[in-house]
Amino acid sequence: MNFLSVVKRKGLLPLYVFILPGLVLILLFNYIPMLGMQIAFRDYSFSGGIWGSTWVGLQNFKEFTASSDFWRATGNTFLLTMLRLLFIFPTTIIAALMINEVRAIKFKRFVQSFSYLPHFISWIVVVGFLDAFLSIDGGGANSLLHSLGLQPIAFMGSETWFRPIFILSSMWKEIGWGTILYLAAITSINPVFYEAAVMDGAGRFAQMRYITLPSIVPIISIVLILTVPSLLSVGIDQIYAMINPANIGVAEVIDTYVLRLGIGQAQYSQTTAIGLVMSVMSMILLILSNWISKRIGGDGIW
Amino acid sequence: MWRLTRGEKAFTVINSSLLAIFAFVCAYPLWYIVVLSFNEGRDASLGGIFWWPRLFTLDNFRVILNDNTIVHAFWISVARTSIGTAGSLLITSMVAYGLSRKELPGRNQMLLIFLFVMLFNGGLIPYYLQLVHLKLINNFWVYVLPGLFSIWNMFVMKTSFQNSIPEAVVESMKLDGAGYIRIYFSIVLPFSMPLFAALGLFTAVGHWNDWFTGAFFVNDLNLQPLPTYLQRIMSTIEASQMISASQMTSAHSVSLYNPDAITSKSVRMATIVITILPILFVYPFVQRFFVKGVLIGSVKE
Repeated sequence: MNFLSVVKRKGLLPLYVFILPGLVLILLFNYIPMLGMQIAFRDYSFSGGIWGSTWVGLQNFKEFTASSDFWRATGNTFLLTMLRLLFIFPTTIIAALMINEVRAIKFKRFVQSFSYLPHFISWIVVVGFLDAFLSIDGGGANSLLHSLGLQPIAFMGSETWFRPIFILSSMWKEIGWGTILYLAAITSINPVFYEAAVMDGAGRFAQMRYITLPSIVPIISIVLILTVPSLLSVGIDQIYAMINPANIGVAEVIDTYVLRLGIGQAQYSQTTAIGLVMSVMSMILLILSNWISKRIGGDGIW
Repeated sequence: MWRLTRGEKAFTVINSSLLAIFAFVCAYPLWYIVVLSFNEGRDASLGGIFWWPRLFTLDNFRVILNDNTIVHAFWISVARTSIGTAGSLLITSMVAYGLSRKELPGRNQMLLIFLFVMLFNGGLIPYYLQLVHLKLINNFWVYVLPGLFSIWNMFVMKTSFQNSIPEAVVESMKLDGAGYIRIYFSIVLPFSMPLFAALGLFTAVGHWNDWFTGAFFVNDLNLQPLPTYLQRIMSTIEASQMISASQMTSAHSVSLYNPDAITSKSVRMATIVITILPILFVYPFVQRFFVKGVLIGSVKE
């Protein structure tokens, strides 16, 4: 009664009404599916549904850990996310520093405008580009090989070429966009530091090395640390668009494996078990990396 | 002008050249696709086209515009993008506004409920079974409802409302007898337009590019959005079926184009161009809001 009278007196009721749709939506699309995760411990059948199927304990977990396809997908996931981190993370910082050194404002804007663009193009379209450029019949890359007198290469259907294409296309899509955060951090550096450095005889390179770079280290560490949870997931868009029977050995990751087995072959219980392990692990990684981020003096996400 | 040493001059030249190349590499694939989509398909398969169509034609686009499924898919995408984006901005900002008021009893508990969802999720299959349960499979609203509330955007908006809307203004409006709804519409919304532009663009692009929902939660061809359709015709069989179907529909009218000159690849290129056109169209207008949107997202409460 006391609570209700406070709400009424201060006119707070509309605020609760505003929040209600959000609560209902996450209940429907987030919390109820969490309850549905129990089928990881059941043998899901359509007749029984989520609550009526028989309990089987850890059988589903034993089954997927016994599958060589699962371990192949896990290995590929780690390899691809590590490669992506290794190539994209440093190049993004270098690109941001390079863009920052441009003094001609118009040219700077021009570079930024074009470099952000790929981020907004869907992976399906990007793989369309790749297909067009790398295809055997008239693709630009094979045209070049032909004019050099070399044999054509079936880039898209090749295990050897999958990883380079994966990395290069990831870099193309995300480097420009990744610079935005660093460039914003750089603009907030106090100009006094640069003036002092110039007085001490620092050239442009020394300013970059001793002022700009150290100033964005906190942001760099946050970005790095928050990348850690994503080591478990490559993201389904890119791989699903690139995968084909010829490269599945190196291209299949946990996300596509779950999709193929779960929705494709209706192995609901087993793939939910995989999903449960992944969710728990990424939650632990996220909490851990956030904690580390705060410990080393940076900001966390909460 | 300040004086540059010789090393700095060299640095500027090299740096600018590399960045110019970088910008070119980011933009060129788009141009390459446009060139191919305006070139005769059979001719394009001979290769060697890089800068300009060799045999200019509009036939690839004629095939597409004759294909009812793709025109339909385009409108499905338009519908879900506009309804989904407007709805998401409205619902998410309402929740964010409610949670941004520190005097609200139970606020911290509710924030925890929302925060937990960012940490842990039920995974794909339980989510899919819930969609089945809600009868959203093969239903247009599967594109809109689950994305109507974005937790990430809610936290971004909440932070922005707390930081950028002066408490004194809110207090004085309260003294004048304005309720929370009135404050939301006459202060919070107008103040937040640049943020809404950025978040709205990100949401809209997410809707426009989403092929996953259409591919796995919808079987009905007439309900598939453009990217899902594009993903389907990336396989050659689908594309050639489309060409033969469009030949049949145009056969009884005057033959519009030379069917031999169209390949599945040239049709795919034209479909890609249609898919990215709306993004390229709005991109220059909303670009200036990006930095603000990203920045607010990175600011800690």
